[in-house]
Amino acid sequence: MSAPAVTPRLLPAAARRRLPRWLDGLLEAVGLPLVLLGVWALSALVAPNNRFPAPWRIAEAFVDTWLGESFVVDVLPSLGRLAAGIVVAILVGVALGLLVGSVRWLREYLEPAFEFLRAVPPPLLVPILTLLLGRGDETKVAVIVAGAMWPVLLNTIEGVRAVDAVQRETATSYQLSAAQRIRFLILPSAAPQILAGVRQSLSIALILMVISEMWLTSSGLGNRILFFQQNFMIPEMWSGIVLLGLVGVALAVLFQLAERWVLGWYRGLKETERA
Amino acid sequence: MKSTKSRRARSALLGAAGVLTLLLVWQASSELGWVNGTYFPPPTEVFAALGRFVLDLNYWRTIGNTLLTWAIGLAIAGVSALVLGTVVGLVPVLRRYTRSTVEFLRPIPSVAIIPLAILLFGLDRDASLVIVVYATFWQIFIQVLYGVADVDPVARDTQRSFGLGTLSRFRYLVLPTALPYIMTGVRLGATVALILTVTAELLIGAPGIGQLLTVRSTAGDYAGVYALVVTAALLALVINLLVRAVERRVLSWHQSVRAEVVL
Amino acid sequence: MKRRAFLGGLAALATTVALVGCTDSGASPDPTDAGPAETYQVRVAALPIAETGAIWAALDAGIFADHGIELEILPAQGGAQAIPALVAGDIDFAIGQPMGPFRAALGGEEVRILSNYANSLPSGDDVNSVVASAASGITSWADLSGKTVAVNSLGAAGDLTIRAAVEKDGGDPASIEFVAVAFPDVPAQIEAGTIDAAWAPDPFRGMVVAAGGTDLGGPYQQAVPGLTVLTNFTLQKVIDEQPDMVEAWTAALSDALDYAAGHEDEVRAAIATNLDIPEAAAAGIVLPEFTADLSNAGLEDLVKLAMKFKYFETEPDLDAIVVQ
Repeated sequence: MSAPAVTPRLLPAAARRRLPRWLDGLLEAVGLPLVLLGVWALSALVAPNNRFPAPWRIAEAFVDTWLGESFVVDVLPSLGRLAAGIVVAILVGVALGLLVGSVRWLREYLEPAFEFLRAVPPPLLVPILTLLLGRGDETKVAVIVAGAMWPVLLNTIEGVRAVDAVQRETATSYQLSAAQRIRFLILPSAAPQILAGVRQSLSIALILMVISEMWLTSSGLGNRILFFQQNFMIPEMWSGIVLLGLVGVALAVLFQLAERWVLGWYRGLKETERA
Repeated sequence: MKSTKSRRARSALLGAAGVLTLLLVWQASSELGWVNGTYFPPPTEVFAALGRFVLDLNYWRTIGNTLLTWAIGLAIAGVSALVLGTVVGLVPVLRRYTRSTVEFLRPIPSVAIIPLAILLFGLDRDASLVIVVYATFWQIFIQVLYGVADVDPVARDTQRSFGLGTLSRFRYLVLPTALPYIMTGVRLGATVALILTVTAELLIGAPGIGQLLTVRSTAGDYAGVYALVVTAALLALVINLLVRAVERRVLSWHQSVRAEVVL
Repeated sequence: MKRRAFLGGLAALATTVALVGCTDSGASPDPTDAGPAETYQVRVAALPIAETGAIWAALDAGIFADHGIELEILPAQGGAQAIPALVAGDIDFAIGQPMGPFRAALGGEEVRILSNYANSLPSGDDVNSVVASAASGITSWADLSGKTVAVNSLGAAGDLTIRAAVEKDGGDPASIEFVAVAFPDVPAQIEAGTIDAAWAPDPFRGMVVAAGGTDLGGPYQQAVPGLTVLTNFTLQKVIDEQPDMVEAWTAALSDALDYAAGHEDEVRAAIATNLDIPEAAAAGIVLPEFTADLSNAGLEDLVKLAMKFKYFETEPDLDAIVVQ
C-alpha cells in the first residue's frame, strides 16, 4: 500500500463528497422517482392514454379526493385501524411465537394447522369474521391481524429455535427464570429475525386493510379506492394507489426508526451481559 | 437419542393431530350453533362435497390451472427477484438510489392494481400472473437484498486480499451467506404466491380454484365453496412441505460447506 | 424412502398441471349443412349467473353456429372487469349492467351498447328484490331510512333504484347506509344482523324469506318498471375494425334471445347444467324478459335518475353510447 496507489483513489472520493450530506440523501430519495415521473409525464404528452393519466391529472385528483372531508372520514380511520392491526399482530405474533418456538411438541402440533389456516384466501375471511364479530372496527382490525401476524409468528418461532445452544445452557445453569430468560436471552437473540418478520407484516397489513374495506363497509381508504376502481374513475383510482404507496413509505421510515431503537437497546444489553 | 426416522414420524403424527383438532373445533362450532350450519357447513358436509369434487375431472383441471399459475408466477418472481436483488444488493449506489422507489412500490396491494392487470392482459391467466408476480417479487427481492448485503466483512477482506475474481467471490462468499435468506424468501414467497393466485382468480375470474369458488358461491353451494377453500389450504400445506424439503436439501449442503470454512 | 416420496409428490403435482392441457369438449358447433361462409371466433364475457342461461341454451341449440359464430364465454366477475378486458382486446363483447358502459364512457372510453339482453319484469315477482330480516322490522320502502342495506356493487342500478323507491314511499334515501355484500353472503349476514336489508336475486332472497324475512319487492318496479338488467356492449374500436363480426353477433344474439324467450324449459335446463344446481332450484328462479330490443329498456329514465341522485357529474350522452 504505497502512497501513489492510495492517493489517486482518494481524489475521486473527495470530489464526490463536494455535495453536502443532506443533499446527497435527498438525491437518493427522490432521484429515481423523479426520473420515472418524468418518463411517465413524457409518455402522457406524447401518447395520451385514458388508463394511465398524466401525473398532473393524478395530482389534481389526489388533492380533490383525499385532502378534503375524505381525509377525516376515510383516511384517518383507515390508518388508525392499520396501526391497531399492526400492533396487535406484532403482540400476538411474538407472544405466540415465543410459546410455540420454545416448546418443540407444540410447534410440531400447530405448524401444519397454521399453514392450513394461513392459506384461506383473505377475501373469504371478511364475511366469516363479520358474522362472528359484527360490522365494526374490531372485525377490520381482526382481518388485518389474521394475515399480518403470520410473518411475525413464523419468524419469531425460527428466531427462538435458533437461540445459541451454549447461551441456553448457561441460562439453565444460572437457573434464570423463564421471564428472565425471555428478556435477556431469547428476545435479544431472536430480535433481528423478529424484526424481519415485522417488516414483512407491514406490507401484508396494508393489503389486508384494503381488503377488509371491500365489503360490509361504506367508508375507508381501501373502500374508496375500490369504489373508484369499479366505477371507472381512473385518475381518482391512481391517486388512491399513490396514497397507498406514500403510506407504505411512511411505514417503512417508521419501521427503520423503530428497528434502530430496538436493536440498539438489545445490542447494548447483549454487550453488557457479555462483559 | 431417538432416531431421525421415528422423530420425523412423531412430528408428522403431531402435525396431523393439530389439523384434526382444527377440524373438530370447526365441527363443534357448527353442532353447538356458534355458526349457522346452512351458510357455514360443518366439515362432514364439506368433505362430502370434496368427495364429489374428487370424482370430477374438471376439479383436477381446476387445481392444475391454479398450480400452473402459481408455478409460473413464483418462477418469474423468483428469478427476477434473485437477479435484480443480487445486482442491487451488490452495488451500493444502486441500493441507495432505488431504496425510496422500492419502499413506495412494495406495499401497494395487488388488489389495487387489478384493473390495470386486466387492462393489460384481459380476463385470463396472465392478469392473475401480474397480481401474483407483483406481490411475490417484493417478498423474495427484499430477502435477497438482505442476504447479499449480509456478507461477513472479515471473509470479504480475506477474499479480496487473495485476489479472487468476481465469479468465485460470488460463489464462495456471497452465495453461502445469502442462501438461507433466499430460501426463506422462496418459502414465504411460495405461500404468498398461492394465496394471491387464488385471490386473483376470485376477483378476476381467471381459470382456477378461485374462479370455481365464485361459481359455486353464486349457485348457493356453500359446502362446495368451503370444499374449495379446504382444497386451497391443502395445496398450501403440500407446497409448504415440498419447499421445506428443498430448503433442507439446499441448506444442508450449505451448512456443511460453511462448517468447513469456519474450521 | 424420503427421496421417493418427494419425487412422488412432484409427479402428482405435475400430473395435475398436465391435465390443464386437456381441453373441454365444450360446445363445438355442428358441422351442419347450410352454414354461412364466414366463421367468427367470438369471445364474450358474461357473469356465471342464471341470466346467462339464454346464451347457454341457445349455444346448445346451435343458434350461434347457424350465424357462423364459434362462441367462447368467459366468466367475468362484473362489468368492472369486463370493460378493461374489452379495452385490452381480450374479449369482443360483454353482457353486463348498463351503468358500467355509462361510467366508462364518462371516463373517456368509447363503449357502445349494441343491444339489450334482458329486462326486469314490470309487475309481479321481479328478478331481484330487497329482502329484510324479521328482526329489522322493515315492512315498507320508507322503513329503509336510516338502515344498512347491502347491494352487490356500489354506485350501480341497485342502490340507485332503491334510493328512488325509498323516496317515492316518503322515506329519506340519504340516511341509508349502503354497503357492498356479495349475493351469496346475504342470507348469513341478514341472519347475523350485520345488515338490515339486502338487494338479492334467487336463490338468496328465497333463503332469507324462508328464514322468516320480508320481501319488499323489486326496486326496479318502483323506480323504472321493466328496467333493463343486462345489456350487450362493446367498443367503437371493435365495431370499426370488425363490422361483419359485430353484425353477425348482433343478429345471432337477437335470435338467441328470441329462442330463450320461447323455450323456458331449455333455459332452465341449461342453467341447472352450467351452474351445477339441482333442477328444482333452477325451476324456482324468476327469469327476466330476454330481448334484444332496447325500446323498453328504460335507459333514459335510468340516466335521469342517476343525474338526480348525483351518481354522475356530467350526463352521459345516450345518443353516442347506444348504437342506433
